[in-house]
Amino acid sequence: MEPTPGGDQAHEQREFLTTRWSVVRAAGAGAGDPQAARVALAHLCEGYWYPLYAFVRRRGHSGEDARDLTQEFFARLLERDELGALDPKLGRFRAWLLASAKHFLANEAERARAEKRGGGRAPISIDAAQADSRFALEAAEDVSPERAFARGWALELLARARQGLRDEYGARAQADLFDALEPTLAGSDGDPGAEPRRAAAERLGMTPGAVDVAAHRLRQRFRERLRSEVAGTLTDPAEIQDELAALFEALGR
Amino acid sequence: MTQNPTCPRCGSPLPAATPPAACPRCLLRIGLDTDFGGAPRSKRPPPGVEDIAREFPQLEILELLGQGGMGAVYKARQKSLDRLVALKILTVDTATDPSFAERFAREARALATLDHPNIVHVHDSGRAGEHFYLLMEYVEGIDLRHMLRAGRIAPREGLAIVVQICDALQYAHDQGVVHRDIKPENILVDRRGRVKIADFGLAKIVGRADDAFALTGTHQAMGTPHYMAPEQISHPQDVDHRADIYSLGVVLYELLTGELPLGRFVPPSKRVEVDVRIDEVVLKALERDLPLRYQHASEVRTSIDGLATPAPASTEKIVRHVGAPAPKSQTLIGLAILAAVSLVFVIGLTVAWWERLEKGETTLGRLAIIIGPWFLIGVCSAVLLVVGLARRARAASRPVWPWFLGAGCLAFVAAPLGIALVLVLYGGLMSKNEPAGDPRYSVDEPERDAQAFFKIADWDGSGGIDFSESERSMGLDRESFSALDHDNTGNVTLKEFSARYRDVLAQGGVFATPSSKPGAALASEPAGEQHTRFCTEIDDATAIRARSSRMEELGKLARRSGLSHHEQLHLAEALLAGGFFDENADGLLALMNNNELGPEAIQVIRTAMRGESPSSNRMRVLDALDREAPRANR
Repeated sequence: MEPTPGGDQAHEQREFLTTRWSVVRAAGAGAGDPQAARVALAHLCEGYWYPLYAFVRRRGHSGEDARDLTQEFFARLLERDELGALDPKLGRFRAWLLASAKHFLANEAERARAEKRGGGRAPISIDAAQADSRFALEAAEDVSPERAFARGWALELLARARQGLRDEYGARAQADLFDALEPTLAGSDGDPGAEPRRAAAERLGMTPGAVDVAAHRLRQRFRERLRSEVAGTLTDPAEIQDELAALFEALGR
Repeated sequence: MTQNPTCPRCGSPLPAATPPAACPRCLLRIGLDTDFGGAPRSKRPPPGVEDIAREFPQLEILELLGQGGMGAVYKARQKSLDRLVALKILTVDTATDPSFAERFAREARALATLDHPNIVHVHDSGRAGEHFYLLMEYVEGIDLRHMLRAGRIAPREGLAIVVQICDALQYAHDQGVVHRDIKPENILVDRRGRVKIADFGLAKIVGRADDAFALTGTHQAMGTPHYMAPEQISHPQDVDHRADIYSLGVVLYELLTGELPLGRFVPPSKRVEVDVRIDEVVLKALERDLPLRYQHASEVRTSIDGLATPAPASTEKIVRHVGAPAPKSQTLIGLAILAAVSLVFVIGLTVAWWERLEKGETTLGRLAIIIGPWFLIGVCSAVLLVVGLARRARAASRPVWPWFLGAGCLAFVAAPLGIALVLVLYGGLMSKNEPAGDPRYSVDEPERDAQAFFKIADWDGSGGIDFSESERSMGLDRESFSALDHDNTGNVTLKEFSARYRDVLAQGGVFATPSSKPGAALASEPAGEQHTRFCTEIDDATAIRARSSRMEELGKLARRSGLSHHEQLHLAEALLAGGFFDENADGLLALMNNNELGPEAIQVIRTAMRGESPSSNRMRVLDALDREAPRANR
């Protein structure tokens, strides 16, 4: 079936109106509720701390330093009233966060190291062990800090979309269906050698046709979730495609 | 931790500890993929031919040609103009895309203005019921995707195709129309080898306002926009005609190498024998940086024209080489029936008539003229059938060699068999005609014929025949005799007989009565019939048949024993008058063996033999005479 272009867009538009980043942006532009904006930003930062952490690590900081710096950065971000200083060109949360972080790190370098970072406050929770092991795993290749940031970002988006989808299936008591079909997700619909699908069909006791339909539905929902995750970090829904393309590029060689 | 694992699907590096099924790049592509239906595509079949026929009474919908993400294409006949057209039905949900109707109308108008030999012409567009449609020129041919599948296209031919695409693109770009979806599926080549670009600007109509690649061909793997310019993915809203040039570059690369220019691709000149300067053309067309790319399609053409491997003027050969679309089932069934009927008919007839054919009976000899070609028709249709099946196999990407092997075997067996059969059949016919080559037959046969007959009828050697004699010898009835006997003397002389021979015989009834009397066999019905024909038609072939038939009768007479000396004499003279052929020599010998020859007969034969040229027949007759002579002298 033909995608329903307008419908999809309208859907994204609706969802977008309530995304946190647009709330933040609205506050930054002087409209909207600053308090709500702050809460929204906190939520956003909570979600995307890891890419930033990876970026900081790539800049050459040790694990502990990077954790501290990340915390410090978020603390400043949320504490200070910097929202008004948002560059309108940085329409995307990702770009804005990266620019802010670079700015922060530049300033931080000049700052006295002895100063107690973060003032003892921990605005977001960073699981130190998870951060380190994850970074160690993903740092196999030598990439630029910016690239590492983008990659981390993409993985974060995917993980959130996946988790959201799994919860959605779980709520319908279909978690096992999700687990069985998940390996089929990355393959395309018309994948001829769809080994995972056969495996799923066997495991679930479903006919191949039924598995195809279920797998297709899963992909479709995943797509919607992914796009809405991306939309949550943008001001303009027209940029979803662009943002996805950029992240897609970042994940390449 | 494993070192640098890569995704088996897209080849991009996987973050460690990621199962291949969860390659982030592949997963991300799901989100990137705009060609994503709400249900599996197969779950929603295109409108049936009947449904469409109801909506378009002015068209005779012939068949569904294909379907893709953006709709379905039907082959139809426009009744008013009696021409074939392609009807494209766009699948859109106007409820969710209210601006579609307006966009469709605007773009379709622009498309209808395109009038170029290398662009599929849009005759009409509009909305019928719930369907938006485009009525287009019907192109009988195949698309580049099929050609690429059918086999490697020679570089020269590939360039010839690209040159025509350049022309079409330049024209369209001049008109302000960008194709946006150049790919092999959209490039058709008609039977005359002309390139025709289809679906111009459809991407813009069907695609969303914010991204241009919402369509798919039936063959394109989902979400792999291989033919799209980078800017088409990153900034779809800013796409201009240079995106088409990028796509053209991909097509060019694929035509030359058979592969897509993915990643760090090998320059074409390293893969095929082609001017190295083509690498530069490909690279410049595939330039990611817009200002560095070719700015006009015509520049691509100019570059190709300057190559050492010039494109041929015509692409006709490619079409012939690659072949027209596979024949339809009905055609093949028709061929199969024709082949089967022909072969059964011919083989049946041949078996049933084998003996008679060998004897070369003349009616059958004529039939052979029909049987031979019929056999060839049967064999030809059988071979065509096999080749047709092979082409269908190729179109369906099934192995072709069994069919060609079959066709080869069939031809190997059938061709010699057919030729042999035709030779046998014609041989049967020709053997009957053999005497035609004998120079001793001259045009004045009727006179000699008449003489021979007269001699037989004139049993008493009086130089005239009376009615009783003629009735006895030839079954000549009174009426016929009277017609000959002009002076009413009751006696017909040789002169009269010869002069009236034709006319009388032509009246029919002469020699019509079978008789058991000696010599009457001559007048048996077939002979009479043949003589009648001979006389009326004065046809060499019939004359020969008449003569040979008469000789046969004389031969039969000669085998009788107990003939009187008088009868012997006349028979010998009749045989000799017919010319000294094998049959007549046999007749003479039979006469001598079965009867004790009288001196008159011996004398006549000996005299005749003196005039004969030396031959084995002459020797045999002379030997027999020598054996007769002592008896005669006794």
